[in-house]
Amino acid sequence: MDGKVVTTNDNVRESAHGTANAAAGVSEASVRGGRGMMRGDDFLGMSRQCRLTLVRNLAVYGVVLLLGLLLFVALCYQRLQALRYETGGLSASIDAERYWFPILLLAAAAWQWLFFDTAICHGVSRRTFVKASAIGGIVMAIAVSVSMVAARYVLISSGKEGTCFVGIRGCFLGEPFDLPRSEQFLYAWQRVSYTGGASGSGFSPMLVGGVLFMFLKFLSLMLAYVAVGTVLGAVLAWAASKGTWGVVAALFVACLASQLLGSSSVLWTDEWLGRFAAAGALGNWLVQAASGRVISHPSAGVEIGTYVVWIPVAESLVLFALCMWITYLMTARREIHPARQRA
Amino acid sequence: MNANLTITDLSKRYGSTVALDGVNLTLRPAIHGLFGRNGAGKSTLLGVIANRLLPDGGAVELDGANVRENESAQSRIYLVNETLPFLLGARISTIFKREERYYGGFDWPFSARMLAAFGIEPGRAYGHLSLGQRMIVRLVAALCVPTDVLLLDEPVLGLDAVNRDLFYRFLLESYGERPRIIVISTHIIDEIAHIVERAAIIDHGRIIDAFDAESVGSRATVLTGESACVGSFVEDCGLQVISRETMGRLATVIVRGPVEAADLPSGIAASALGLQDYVIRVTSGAVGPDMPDISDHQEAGDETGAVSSSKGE
Amino acid sequence: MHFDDSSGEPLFRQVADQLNEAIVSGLYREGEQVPSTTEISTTYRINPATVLKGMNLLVERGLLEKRRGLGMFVAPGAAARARGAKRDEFLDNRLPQFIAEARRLGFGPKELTELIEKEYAS
Repeated sequence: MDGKVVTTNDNVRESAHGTANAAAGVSEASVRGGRGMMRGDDFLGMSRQCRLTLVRNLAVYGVVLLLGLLLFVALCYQRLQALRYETGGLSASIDAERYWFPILLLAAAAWQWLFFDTAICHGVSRRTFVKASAIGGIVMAIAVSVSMVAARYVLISSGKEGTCFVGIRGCFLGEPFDLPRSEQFLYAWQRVSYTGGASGSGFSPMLVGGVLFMFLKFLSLMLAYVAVGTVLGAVLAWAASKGTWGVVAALFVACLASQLLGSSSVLWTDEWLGRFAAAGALGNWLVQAASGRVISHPSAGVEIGTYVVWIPVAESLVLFALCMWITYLMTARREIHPARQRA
Repeated sequence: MNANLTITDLSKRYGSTVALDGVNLTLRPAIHGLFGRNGAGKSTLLGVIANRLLPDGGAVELDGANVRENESAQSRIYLVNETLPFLLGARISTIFKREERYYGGFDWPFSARMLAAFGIEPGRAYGHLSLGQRMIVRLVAALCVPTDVLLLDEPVLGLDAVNRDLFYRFLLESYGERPRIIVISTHIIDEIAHIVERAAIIDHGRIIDAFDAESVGSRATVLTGESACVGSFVEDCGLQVISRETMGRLATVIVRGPVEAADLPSGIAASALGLQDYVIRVTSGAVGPDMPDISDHQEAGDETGAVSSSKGE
Repeated sequence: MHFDDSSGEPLFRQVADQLNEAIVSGLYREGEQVPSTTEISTTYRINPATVLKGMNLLVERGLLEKRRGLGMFVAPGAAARARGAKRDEFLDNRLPQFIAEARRLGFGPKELTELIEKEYAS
């Protein structure tokens, strides 16, 4: 409506233009521009829906990340206070890798399950929704990795001879938190067993680029959590579409799985315990290799361990791609039914 | 405004139930009424157009582009039904801002005027509103986004008579300002009979009639008279019967198409059906071979009221 | 204005008749703008296309004219034309119907004339 000003107190709308236009059959395309409506919507080649969904995803993950970090800082502080006042008999320090597992898992699952409806109801395609989840998930994993590895590296490098805890894993500060599986990639080690059951071990100095390896291992773990969480969310959504019992069953399974994965089982055990005893066994070797530890026995009683970080990285990337693909397959058929029952 | 929404052979089933059975429909900028019984497929059809439901066959095209999983097409389509993609805790203004972001614009003055007319304060939280008020807020948003296609699935369910009237007023005002494709699916047909320009009737997943609303009088004729007399007249003229009722010797037969007053023998009276009555009559029978599948004809065929498939049936 | 579903008259024709009546009665004078399609549409809850069709009917009859970019206006001489059309309609339809009905009820022409004059006087 060219030149027409509409205010909230305007009871009589001057619609002469509109009438004349309608009467003359003129296209009303110009009307759209007249009310300050934004029509340009391509940003970096992304459609408006794409950009908005990605931003929303990053915002949701960002909030979760922030809360997670705050809680983590609080836990570390609590741990440091405990160390100050109690000596001996304390449990292990905070395992940061295990800490982030449920957070990333649930964040990815929650997004996948709960934010789908709003997206689709605003014109977002299913393809974009999953793409945004993937991109946001990667960003979230990197953000967690950068913050955790940087903080851990500060702790490690400030550990001096005489103030650090010397153990099987080398000399470094173990408190208030550590990254047990990732830190192993800072070193290589050698274990020799002597006659009579005694053994001695030695560690190489910190490898050049060790921090990068640590970062990559940690990142691969985070990516794996995000990947599994995303699929979990898609499965929960599918179960929910089958009715309330589906949700209950799915949640039960999810809790069970989380418990299993979180407890001291295959993934979390300090494998080095079993390793020495079963030196050379194939199954043991596979488990070790899967997490990046390649162990060689050059001679009887001597073990050389090297950490090969590209193995877990490759595994994680494959897992991530696979999970995203499965999620897409499931989401591509996901529908939003009206709240009323369908006939 | 030259948008064109074409639905071709759309079909969808839920397990063994057929929701849409080869729907063909063309929609141009106008207010369209979509009528049919519960479970006829209205909500499913609208859901498929809005990419919320996925069809098993056929296609929906907006200006030639398939709308399925197509974001640029979907940003021009807006559906209001009972799904609530709004966070209950959000304020109304927040909700409107979100719609503005996703659809590239929002008519704020118009929305303020509508909320005032409906007596809803814009600062209130969506979750604190009654069900009827929530629907009103969603309808206000629907009228204020600059989309080319507006789909309203049972928009006035839960609104009292005054609010319904107000809504129709604002709907017509919005359409008058900016003509676009508006589809209203409703059971309250009488109220909307003058408001819609085109009517489409869907039954058992198929479009059984589509016509200009004002020419509903020529879609069917009610013949009343002595039973045998009416019966023979119907047979002689080869008229297609929609329904038949007898009360003693008096029969009321509803046939398809118009009947010229001049052709009527004495003793038989003819009258026309209003839109609601016509929809009731034509959807209350069982589906079968006598119910032709009518592909939508835009201009010519409908003006004369002739039913396109009368040749074959 | 009032619109009736049961009268059997198509709605657009009712719109045209009502506007016609308004012009005849002088409510809308020559050169004056009539309400827009949107205004009539929203006030009486009628589809704008129907309103437009009714208005176009009056344009054909020469009672309204479209001014591009402005709207619909009462054409010059419309009132007289409309009144003339109504008179013609009265003479062509209503009067013969009236006479036919009177005849059916048994009124003779002289009797009828007296009654008519009495009616005019009151």
